[in-house]
Amino acid sequence: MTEPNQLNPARRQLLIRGAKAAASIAAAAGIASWLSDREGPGRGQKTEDRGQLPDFSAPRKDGQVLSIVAGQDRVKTVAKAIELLGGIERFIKPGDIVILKPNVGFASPPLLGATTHPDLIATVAKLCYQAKAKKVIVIDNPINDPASCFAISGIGKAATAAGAQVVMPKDNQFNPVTLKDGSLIKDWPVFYEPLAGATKLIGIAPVKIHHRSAASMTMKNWYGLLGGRRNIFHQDINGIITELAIMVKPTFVILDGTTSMMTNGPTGGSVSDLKKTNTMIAGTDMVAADSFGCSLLDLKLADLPYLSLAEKAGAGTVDYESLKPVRAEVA
Amino acid sequence: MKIVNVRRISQVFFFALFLWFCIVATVGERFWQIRNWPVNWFLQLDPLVAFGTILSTQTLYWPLLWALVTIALTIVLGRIFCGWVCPFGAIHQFIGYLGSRKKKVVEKIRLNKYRKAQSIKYLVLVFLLAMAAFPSWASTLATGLLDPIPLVTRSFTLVLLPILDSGAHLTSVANRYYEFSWLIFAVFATAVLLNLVIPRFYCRFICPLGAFLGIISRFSIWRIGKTKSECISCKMCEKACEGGCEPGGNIKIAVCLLCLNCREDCRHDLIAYQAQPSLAGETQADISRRGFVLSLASGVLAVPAVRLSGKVTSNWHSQVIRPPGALAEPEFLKRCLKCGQCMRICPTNVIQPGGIEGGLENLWTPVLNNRIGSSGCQLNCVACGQICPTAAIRPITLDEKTGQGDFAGQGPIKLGTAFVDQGRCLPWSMDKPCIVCQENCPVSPKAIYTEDVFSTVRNGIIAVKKVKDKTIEVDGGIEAGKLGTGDYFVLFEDGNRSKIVSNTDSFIEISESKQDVKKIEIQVRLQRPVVDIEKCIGCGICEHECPVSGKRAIRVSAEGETRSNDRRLLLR
Amino acid sequence: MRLLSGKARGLESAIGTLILFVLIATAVGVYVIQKNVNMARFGQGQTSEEAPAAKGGLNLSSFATADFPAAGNAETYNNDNLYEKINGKAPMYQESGFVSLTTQRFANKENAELGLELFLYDMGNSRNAFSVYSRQKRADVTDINGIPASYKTSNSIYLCAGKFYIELVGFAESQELIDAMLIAAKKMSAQLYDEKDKITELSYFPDETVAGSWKLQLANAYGFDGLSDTYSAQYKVNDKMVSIFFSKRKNADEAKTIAKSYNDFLISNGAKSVEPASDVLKGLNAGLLDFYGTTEIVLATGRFVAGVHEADNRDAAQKAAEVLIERLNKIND
Repeated sequence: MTEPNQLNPARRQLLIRGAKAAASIAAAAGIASWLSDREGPGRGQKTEDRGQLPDFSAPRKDGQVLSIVAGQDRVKTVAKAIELLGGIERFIKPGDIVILKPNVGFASPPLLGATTHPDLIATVAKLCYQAKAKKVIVIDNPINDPASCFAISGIGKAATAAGAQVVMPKDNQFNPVTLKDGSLIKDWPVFYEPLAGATKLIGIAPVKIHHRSAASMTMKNWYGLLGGRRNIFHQDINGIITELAIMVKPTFVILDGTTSMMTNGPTGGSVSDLKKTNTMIAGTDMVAADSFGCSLLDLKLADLPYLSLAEKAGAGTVDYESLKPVRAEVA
Repeated sequence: MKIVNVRRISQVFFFALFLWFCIVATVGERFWQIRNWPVNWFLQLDPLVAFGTILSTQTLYWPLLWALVTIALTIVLGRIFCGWVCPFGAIHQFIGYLGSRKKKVVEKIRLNKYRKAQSIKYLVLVFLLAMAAFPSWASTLATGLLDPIPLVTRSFTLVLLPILDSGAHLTSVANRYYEFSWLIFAVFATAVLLNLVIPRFYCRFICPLGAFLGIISRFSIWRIGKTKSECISCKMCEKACEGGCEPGGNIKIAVCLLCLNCREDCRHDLIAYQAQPSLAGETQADISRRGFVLSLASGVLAVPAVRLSGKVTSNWHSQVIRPPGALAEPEFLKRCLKCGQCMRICPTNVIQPGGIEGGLENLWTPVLNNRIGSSGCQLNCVACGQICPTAAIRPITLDEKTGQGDFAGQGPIKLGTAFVDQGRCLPWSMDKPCIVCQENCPVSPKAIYTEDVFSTVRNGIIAVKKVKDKTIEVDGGIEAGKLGTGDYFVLFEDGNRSKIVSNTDSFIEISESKQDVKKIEIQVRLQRPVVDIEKCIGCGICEHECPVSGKRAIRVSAEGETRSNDRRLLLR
Repeated sequence: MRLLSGKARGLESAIGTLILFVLIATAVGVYVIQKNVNMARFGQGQTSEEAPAAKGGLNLSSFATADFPAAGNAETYNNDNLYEKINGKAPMYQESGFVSLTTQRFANKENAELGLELFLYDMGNSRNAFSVYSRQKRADVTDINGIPASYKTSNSIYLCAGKFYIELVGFAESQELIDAMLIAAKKMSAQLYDEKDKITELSYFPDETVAGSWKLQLANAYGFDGLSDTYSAQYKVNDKMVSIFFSKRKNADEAKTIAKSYNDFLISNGAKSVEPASDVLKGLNAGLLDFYGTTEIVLATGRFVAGVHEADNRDAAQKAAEVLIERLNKIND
């Protein structure tokens, strides 16, 4: 028996169910239209392009662009070389987060000269902390396994002993970068994360002969910031080194010519591959530093096409003498 | 007109429509060819396809909006899709009917009892959806493996149709071949034959779409139910119950597929399709919490576990060559239903269902095998992208494929690169002229060019008896008639060569006169193919045409495919 | 609310019928949709306007008109595979300096059967192009106004432009097709024709030469291998057509040598020398020969070898030769 002016339970239940049904349909339609994709997926893969690297370069000071110090003890010569450029205080200010980028490419002992000598890391890190840097970080994306490279080259230990932090490359620390006006570095993963948070960047490279690029010095050193299957760039080695020189703007670079690898580069393997050239170079102009470094390897400028390519692109000056390098000798 | 007859008509209608869509999915303008037949309609109506891709890609590809129709109708009316539309379900129902025709009524009623195991399909659903949803950087769309519409589509187009058509060639020009079809057939046959054990076995125990629809039919306005709470329990209503939902008692409403047989068979008019819940009681979907959690966890872990093999990243298989327009691998796997439509429509039959050589996720995904079919990937064809229901293969235009028009800057889409196997190539290693690959390379300028080389044939250094004008007489060592093909030359001691016009077994006719010849070398001019990897688009026509017909002397592999940044072969 | 409770057949039938209508509507809908055929989206035919550039930076599709877009890809052939496209005709091109052939089909937007194929032969230079053009010129053709060195037949258009010999071959005899081809031909001629490619030798013929009758035989004119680079044309004398020819040689000596050789060649083939009636011819020591009833004239004047070939009427032949000589002498000076 139903009361005509009262909803019987069955009818009410039906209405409730009806309302729920309508709500579900509405929800489904709402989600469908919110997520509706008219164009379908695009061709490219969606990755966040971080664009250009930060510009770490220091303001130019004529007469203090390049320093060349002769001497056998790299700890002494590097300190002198930096002093001649105006001292560490010119570059590192209190609170700076400094990235040191040495060559840690191979799991090779310091004796063989294939990697940056750990003494340089220790010295430069100490200098930075003396200038009241907040933190010094040492990075590289080695060719061999990172852990063994940092260990066997001695750089890991030297860094930690000097209070610097070693950051190993991990997949999620690479971001795609496209160099404006570049043709090789297009959407290419670069070891970006540590650089994004830093304020100063110092490159430290040994002088080595290189089978493919003729020499490996401060400009080639930035190859260690590339990720992905970067060996593809060996198809145009001069092009990639030039683009690296455009992309990376360090505060200054150190080129260690205390021992130069004259043969069998870049890995060397025998002490006989090395020659005691006893020269340390520091400067704010990578192209000039490398151009001088040529002479240590008995190479001509023409042997390194990337030098003039980089100069043409505005990354530096090949004629280093015109920069009036400051010379000194340390006993 | 009895409603159950209308339902039967509906099932036949949709099955026929489905079959027709399978038949016409071939490129051409005749009425039995693709024209503009909406061959993907069933896949688009399938809510599991839409929901699965929403979870894996966080978008809903717009043709899949049809799923809203199914969802809306299910929410309002219940699982009419299962009972009235699904072609796979129709097959199960029919086979189940055939299997239990001779059985006694008591036996039939027993077969249609509700079983707790019927909730396994919810676990299947949760497992598959979890794989699509989590983790989002490694999710994969596996719903296509058990989703009935993709399953029945690939079973028909990749197995049944080619078998039935292998003589008559009504649906295609030549025999169609599909690798791994035996497994597709086995799954299909098993599902179908299980109906002889319990009718609609697949629908009741396995089907994840049925599970999904069962869950969303919770609020349906109308449902099957008894009009009285008590009856004589003759169970006639369950004699032909398709869903196994026990309408005679406490009806498991999420399992009911609205076949309406119970309503027809009840001799006392006690079963109705009504707006109130059954007076004998109604239960919703039965999912145990433990089962839910286990399925969810398994689904979440399954994909990362499978991907430890690296087959989607650095350990990728170079023979997994995907069709033109395919997305990069992780994105592709989020969308591919393994429905087989691309394989069906490919005019050259080169797209094949993959095996597990590219990893477990590769199963039944489209992979090119250039040895099968009529010609590798045709230059002027973009059919596969046009038919892919989820845009796992994008619907590219011909301009984008060939790198023309708006896409001239990007260049053509490359599927991979061809590599010459010099040890097997006739001109490289066997001193036999052949440039079939170069001749057939379809791009302009050709991606295969030749390097001309003269090679002295076996036993080719021959002493000369006499030479007169253009004829050289030799002391045997040559086979009559063999050297006049235009490829053979005589090399004289002074370094000059002359083409051989004809020969017998002791005379060689050359094309210009020569004097004073003591010794000659018979040489064959070989044009050795070299691949220009900047131009090669990996279409596989060269591989297809190579006369070394077993392991071809030029083979395409996926290096250099444009869909993946990390598989580049070239610098720029 | 009870729907379909018990055997409410009336309502059941009504709903059943409604559902059947839905099924029919679905079938009709599917049928209607399939009629909307657009085969182009599957590829196999339509590329965009920009087909790959042919040799010489030429974009063949740019010659498409609105009604006749490009259909299919351009094809390119070089010396090695020319025969694949034109088979037996290949040697003629290959002996005449052939560089490459590019072809492109165009088809009517509405009716794919109504189409044409464009053959663009790069012959290396304008003389080569003119040679293959003139040697293949069909009889009974119409010259086209406004396009130099061109003619049309009922279904095709042929022309020379710069170093290119161009054929537009229509697949049907259709005015619409011809109109479209005319537009394309005009475009091509305008684009490819260059003043520097002008064949000056053609102006060496007397003005009254039949327009469009010029031929250039690059080698073996009239079967004689000494007669290379030979221009010929039809000249009307008193309603009689005469074939006149000349060939510009390096110098007068070479011209005399070739003229004599050709003379001897004709005699060795059965021609009989006849004393010319014309003083001009006598003065040049021209050879006048009766070749089985027809008249051959061969002579050298300045650096030109010239003459008349296979004339029916001796007087007309000599007249024509005189006019030609007079003309050539003017050039010689």
